[in-house]
Amino acid sequence: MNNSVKQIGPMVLLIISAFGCSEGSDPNNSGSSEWSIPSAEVFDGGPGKDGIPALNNPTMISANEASYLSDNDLVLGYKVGNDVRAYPHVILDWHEIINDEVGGKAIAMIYCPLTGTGTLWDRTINGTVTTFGVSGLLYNSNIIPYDRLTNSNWSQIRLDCVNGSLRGTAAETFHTVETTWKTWRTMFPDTKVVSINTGFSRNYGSYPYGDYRTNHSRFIFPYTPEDNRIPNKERVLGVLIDGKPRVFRLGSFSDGIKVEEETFNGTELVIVGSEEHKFLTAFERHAEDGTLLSFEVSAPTISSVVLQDNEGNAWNVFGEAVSGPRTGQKLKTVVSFIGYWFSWGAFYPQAEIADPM
Amino acid sequence: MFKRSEVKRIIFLFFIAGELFTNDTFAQTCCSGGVPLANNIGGLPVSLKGTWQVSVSTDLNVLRTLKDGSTKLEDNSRERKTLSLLVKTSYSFTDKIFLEGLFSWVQQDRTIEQIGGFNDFERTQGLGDWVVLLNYKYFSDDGWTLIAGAGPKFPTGQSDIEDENGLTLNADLQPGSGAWDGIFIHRLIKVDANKKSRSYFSNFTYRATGKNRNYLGGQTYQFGTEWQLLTGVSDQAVVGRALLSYGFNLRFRVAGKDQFNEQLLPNTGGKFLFIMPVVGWHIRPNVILSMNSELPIITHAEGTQLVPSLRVNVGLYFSFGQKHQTFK
Repeated sequence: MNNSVKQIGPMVLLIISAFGCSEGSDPNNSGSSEWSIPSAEVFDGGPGKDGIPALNNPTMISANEASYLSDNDLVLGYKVGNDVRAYPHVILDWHEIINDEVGGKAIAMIYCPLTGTGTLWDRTINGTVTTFGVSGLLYNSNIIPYDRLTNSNWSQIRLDCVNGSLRGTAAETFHTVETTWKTWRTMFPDTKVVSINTGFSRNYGSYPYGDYRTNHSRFIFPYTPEDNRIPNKERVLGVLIDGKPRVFRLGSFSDGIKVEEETFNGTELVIVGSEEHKFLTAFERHAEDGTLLSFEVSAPTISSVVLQDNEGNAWNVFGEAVSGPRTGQKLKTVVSFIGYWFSWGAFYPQAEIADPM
Repeated sequence: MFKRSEVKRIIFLFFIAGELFTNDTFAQTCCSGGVPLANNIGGLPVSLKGTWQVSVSTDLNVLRTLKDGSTKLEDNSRERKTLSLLVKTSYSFTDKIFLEGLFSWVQQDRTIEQIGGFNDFERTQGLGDWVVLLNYKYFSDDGWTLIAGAGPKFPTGQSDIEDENGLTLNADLQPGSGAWDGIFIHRLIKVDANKKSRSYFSNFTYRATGKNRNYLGGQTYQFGTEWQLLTGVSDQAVVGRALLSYGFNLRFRVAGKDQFNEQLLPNTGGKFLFIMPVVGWHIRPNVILSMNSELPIITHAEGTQLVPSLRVNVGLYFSFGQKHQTFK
């Protein structure tokens, strides 16, 4: 028996030696433990860094070619001049970030399936164009993108860098419109839309999170605080004026297309939307020369032109004057985006609700 | 002690095994594999009173196949590897009662291909969870052996390892689960009446998972309940002057969805059928070098997830005291 015991030692060493392997790792991944948010509430979502692959410069197709989309599928739209593009949720559910260039602007469409928030960010940081990737981390159930320039981590809903050398830097955003595919292509028949030929093999027809979108009590990752003033998964438009939030509910914009004007945190706002056509967006009421305009619905039927003002100008859903004396001018956009109510309640606990219904 | 020629052969076999573990052609990734505890319990030969058995093995589980349900997705950008050192031991107090233990040391790797040609790589390693089973066996005169066992899986492995940013890594990257599990096993072995070296067997294993109540600092995590059926045939043959044992097994594994804070986690769990060839070289009557591999035949993942692509296990088995009765 003693001899046998002596034999085990070398064998064990041999087996342990099989463990000796090494891998190359990300040279930028220097890591930083300083966070602007509670690091104990930052969770590893599971797939890992870039485990959910962002898309870069995706192939675009025409609306007629996008047979994979259904009328009720939600898209996030962006327009620069005549370059109009749609980024469907059914693709963003699997990639979360699309790095693109539209009308000469380097943009990143960032969408978090767990908070339902879509925001459009400028990819130019401190004069250098970069791309964003999915860190695999979550804060309050919300995506934490990272920039490939400095490997810093950002918070989508906070709209700032929360970890890394750019910590404290605010994200520059562009105005995006979220609506259904039917409404979007009615507004912009010549739109381009992301092709499902993304270079990745995914089942774009299936939603990867079960009944998460509609089950108000279903959550995968924690968030805090809870706010039960509105059903958790109701999609709302949040507006941030100097960091102060106000939330608008789509249900308040029933009966065709509706326009609301109000003053919030010292800013005159116009909000236009339609529960029927599933869009909601907000602008400042001041024209470029500072004139305060009064708005109403431009027409009862849906098109890209949704507002007209007291000077006879018609404005489209991106706040561009398309007819009238101010043609070519733009309304000042406000920081706003649509998401599940619970995420607005968690990130902005003091959020005012415009119409509790 | 071993003869020099035997030692050379052993070293060669481990070298080959080591090459398998480190060769890029086997790529890497991670997920529903986890630490292979339930896969490895109950595999020691049936033995009589006073027998002490020890098996030391390395186990590599590679996951790099991305599946959506049963459909394979063409994406090789992610890989998970679980490499374990497993020490399995049993002692028979009587001809009917024996205690079995499985002790693990685990290394978890996750590699994700990124833009720019480099990889995001995470590695954790440390003691894994340990299992102890009390077994009762029953022999019949016509060659049947029935064994039933049960015992706990102790949360001895670390489950709160952090990354370089100070963030706790995901549960499936940890060496341990942080939870007490209950494991139940039922083995049925039949020696071929016409050929005593041949035996048929089936192992049914059920793992009732507990909750890690200190996951990510106060959250709860529970791996999906798991059961598996291993069935196969083994035999022995003399090749040249060497006595070899060989076998052919099928393993069917069903894993439920994991839960995070009582909520079912999407893209976890599934059903898996593996083919599993086994070969052993009887270096001495009481020393066997064995190797088995596991290849998926049918996989149905819940949602979209990485699923097992290959598993390889190489080990040495020793017995002391009484001779064992059959070899699986």
